[in-house]
Amino acid sequence: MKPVVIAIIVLSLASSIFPSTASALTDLQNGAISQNCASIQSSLKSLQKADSRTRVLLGSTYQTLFTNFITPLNLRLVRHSQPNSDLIEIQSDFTELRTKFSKNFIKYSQSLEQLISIDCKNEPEKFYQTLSQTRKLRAKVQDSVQKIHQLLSRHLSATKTLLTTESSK
Amino acid sequence: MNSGARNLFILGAASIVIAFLTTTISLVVYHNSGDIYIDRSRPGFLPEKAERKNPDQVEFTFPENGKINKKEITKYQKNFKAQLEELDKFNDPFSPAPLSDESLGIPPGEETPSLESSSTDLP
Repeated sequence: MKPVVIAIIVLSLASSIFPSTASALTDLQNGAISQNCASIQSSLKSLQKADSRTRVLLGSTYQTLFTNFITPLNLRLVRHSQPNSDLIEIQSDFTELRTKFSKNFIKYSQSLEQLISIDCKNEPEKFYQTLSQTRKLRAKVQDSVQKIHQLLSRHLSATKTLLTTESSK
Repeated sequence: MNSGARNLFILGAASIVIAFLTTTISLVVYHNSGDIYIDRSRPGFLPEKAERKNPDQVEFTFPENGKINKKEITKYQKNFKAQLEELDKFNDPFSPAPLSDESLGIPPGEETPSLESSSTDLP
């Protein structure tokens, strides 16, 4: 009797930890994915190109901000024996977030590529499962972009404080 | 087949195998490093001409050497803000909208999978 009870508990726990996303697809959704497969794939391919462009443009602006602004300002402050702990912390966080952004983008792009390669006409459930995963990875990329932009705003505020200090001298 | 011809055949076959292996390794590295997704040589993946910065335009660089005073910091802030304005041109980059069911023409299900971390419609 005991093994049966244990097996039921294990199965119910497993089903709650690994929910089946495929079964959540309705017949209507299944049909729509199969029917609109070509247009969905076309939209995804356009999105892939647009995302790559956004990644390149954002990445080059971050690079400019880091090498032409954030780093030289800290170096100048250090040379004048006025290191600013807040600005140094921002520089370090910026490096970390840029790396995170690049890694998150790679993971997302790989998932998107996998999604595009799935035959959604014949495998709508597999397609939807991968789509859900890709959405999660895209949300991570968006999150890292938002964090970088918040950090840049913080950097600007820190320079305002620096300006106030210099003005009062 | 004499030994010379056999050696020539082995050399040719070995060259093909080595070329195949090194090409495969290169492609795997190219793909896994993520360079494939930001490769500027891929048509369509490049930013449009209008989107790119003018290469003739000299970018501002805050020099490492110089004074620290009100004038210098104001100049720094002015140019820094100009760069932030460039970033503001991107309207919510990587927003969930393009991958939503609605955008892809997938009708809403009775019970949608809870994998969407970005979903805000659910209570």
